[in-house]
Amino acid sequence: MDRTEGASGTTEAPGGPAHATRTRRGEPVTFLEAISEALFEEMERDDRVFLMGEDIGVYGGAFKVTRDFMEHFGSDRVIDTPISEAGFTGAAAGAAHMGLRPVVEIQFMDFISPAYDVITNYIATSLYRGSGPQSLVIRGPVGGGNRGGPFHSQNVEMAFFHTPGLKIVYPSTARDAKGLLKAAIRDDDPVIFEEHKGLYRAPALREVLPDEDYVIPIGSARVAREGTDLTVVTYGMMVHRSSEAADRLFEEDGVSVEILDLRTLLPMDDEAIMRSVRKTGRLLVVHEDTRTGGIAGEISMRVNEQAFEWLDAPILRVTAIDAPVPYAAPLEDYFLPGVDDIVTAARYLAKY
Amino acid sequence: MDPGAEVSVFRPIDCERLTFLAEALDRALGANPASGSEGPTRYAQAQGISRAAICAALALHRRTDGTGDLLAPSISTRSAVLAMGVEPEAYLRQALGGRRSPDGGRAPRFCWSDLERGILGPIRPPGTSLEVMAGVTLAFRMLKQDRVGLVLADASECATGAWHEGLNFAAVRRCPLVVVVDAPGPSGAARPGGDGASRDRIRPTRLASWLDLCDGYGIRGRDAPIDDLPVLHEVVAESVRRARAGGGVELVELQGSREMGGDEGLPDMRTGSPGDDRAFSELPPAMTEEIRERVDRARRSVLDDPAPEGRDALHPIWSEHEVSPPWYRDPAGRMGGGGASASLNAASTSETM
Repeated sequence: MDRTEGASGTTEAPGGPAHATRTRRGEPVTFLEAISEALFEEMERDDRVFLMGEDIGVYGGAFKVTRDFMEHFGSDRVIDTPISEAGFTGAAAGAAHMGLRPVVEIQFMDFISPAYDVITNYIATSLYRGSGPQSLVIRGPVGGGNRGGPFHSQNVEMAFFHTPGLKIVYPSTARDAKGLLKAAIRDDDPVIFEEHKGLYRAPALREVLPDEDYVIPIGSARVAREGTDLTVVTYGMMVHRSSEAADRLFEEDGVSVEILDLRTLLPMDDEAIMRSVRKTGRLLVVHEDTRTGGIAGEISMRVNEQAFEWLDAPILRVTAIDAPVPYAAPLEDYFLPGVDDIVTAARYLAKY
Repeated sequence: MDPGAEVSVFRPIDCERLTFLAEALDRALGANPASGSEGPTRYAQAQGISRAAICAALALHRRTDGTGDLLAPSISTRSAVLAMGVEPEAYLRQALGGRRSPDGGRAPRFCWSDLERGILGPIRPPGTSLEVMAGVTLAFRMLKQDRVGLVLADASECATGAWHEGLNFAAVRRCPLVVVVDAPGPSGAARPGGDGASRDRIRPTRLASWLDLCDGYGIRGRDAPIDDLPVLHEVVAESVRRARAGGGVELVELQGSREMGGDEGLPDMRTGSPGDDRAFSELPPAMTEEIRERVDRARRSVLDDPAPEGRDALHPIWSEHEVSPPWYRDPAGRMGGGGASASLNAASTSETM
């Protein structure tokens, strides 16, 4: 095959796949292309970085994140694996022991569950057990709204949130996705990197990124919108839902909402949360994941421990309902937290 | 023989010596009240398996600078680490979990790794080691290193999904990996007076031999007698040579009569292989006496090991930061200025970097 002719029929631009090099040409990128750029640039920068996953090579990935990567980097660094999440995640752990920096793609993060054992029992404990650091990234698409049903729509953060030794990253913008993925690849600890598939090609998220090698530190939240009346702590797709809600609340009620985008769930940026809560005195936690055992409970407890005196109202949460992700549109729409839900809860808080 | 050196010529006496050393160490552990065991047999390994594991490990390139082959033993084949040059003191210290143990008391008894010495410690749940070693040997290939991985697997773990996924992955990628495994059954299935655990009644497979798997995975397989050390060593050494030369995964099945099970902790474990106990009688008395004295010196030296401090449990969980204890473990901090919430604030950010 001609090196410039991708297996998926696309043409590789000089210097790399077209979709992974837009920033170099001064073009705006989607969230998905930002992910591709991060992978591409890190593989160019560091020979130890390689990719493993199902259909990521010849086919370019279920979402085409790694389209034409195999042609550029070769099949030793872009490895098509058997369908065996446990097997290839475990293999990534072994490769990390030998100093490589594997990036594992889980085709849909719902399928990470077969690898739960090796991630939690082995990878997360390796450093602690004296077997050395596990410098690897496990990344993939999460989230609902695409009528994917219960096997292609879940958020998986809480399955791993309580496992010491792991880091969990969940970006909401193209800029953050690229900078955080680069940071994750360079990190010495294992990182689970969640990408909401609803953001992948969202036109509103296209932006021109800095044409420089930037990283965004893991563990640092971002104030996505300044406000004074109440704080919304959220991440991923819900940053954008919350932003829509904040617009309405300001226009219709004159309520000023501050939105804190966590970006990293583990380790959590407690300082940024407390700073905002002390400023507004009211806290609403919004996440797309289901309610019981969701991250809102942990955030609420931390605020209770660290900023109770500053609260002027009870902490509330808007989440998905406690159900498997349903397939049919009316069911899934009801399942997911929406803008109206956020507005309703925020109004209650603002008037409390 | 100098444990830790590469060995090109196999001498059965080296294998016997290390097997004797392993038994002496386990007896020392069992006799040590600090181990919390109920008797010497708690730490006993099935002797035939132990000897075979050592014999197989002696086929590897054994180095101490992280450039040699890599061994992944199971709990019941852990004595193979002695062939990789692990010192008696380290073996005992790890089992006792003291502050000076290889991992400071964080990993269980024999489950520590020393990648410089070429050891990836036993992994739980069973089967995981094959997945991880598939990646280790994939890395050998990617880095163009002249290295081989050796997994010593118990038959019991061959029924796990992890074992099959790992074996398949390694086979697909033609990783330089050799897997040595007990033959399936009877493996205690017929053990009279068993304790009723599933291992006593449930065979891990309906296959007569794991070699029947090899065609399915597209790998080469051979069997080897557990009690004929020169033959066993040569079979493993051949597999190691082929794997090193790019031949991909090889499986070696140990043939022997395991009459009484093979798990650790069983009081009556023996493989029942001919020559199990007779072999030690062939060791020169001066050699066995030297080993006994060496183990006794090691035992006495580790008895004085201090226990870890409780707070040592706080690290290293992540690479670059210390985890703080909760505030109720740090009363002085709680009484600091700023009121209850302020002091709680300082003490409860244990997961914040």
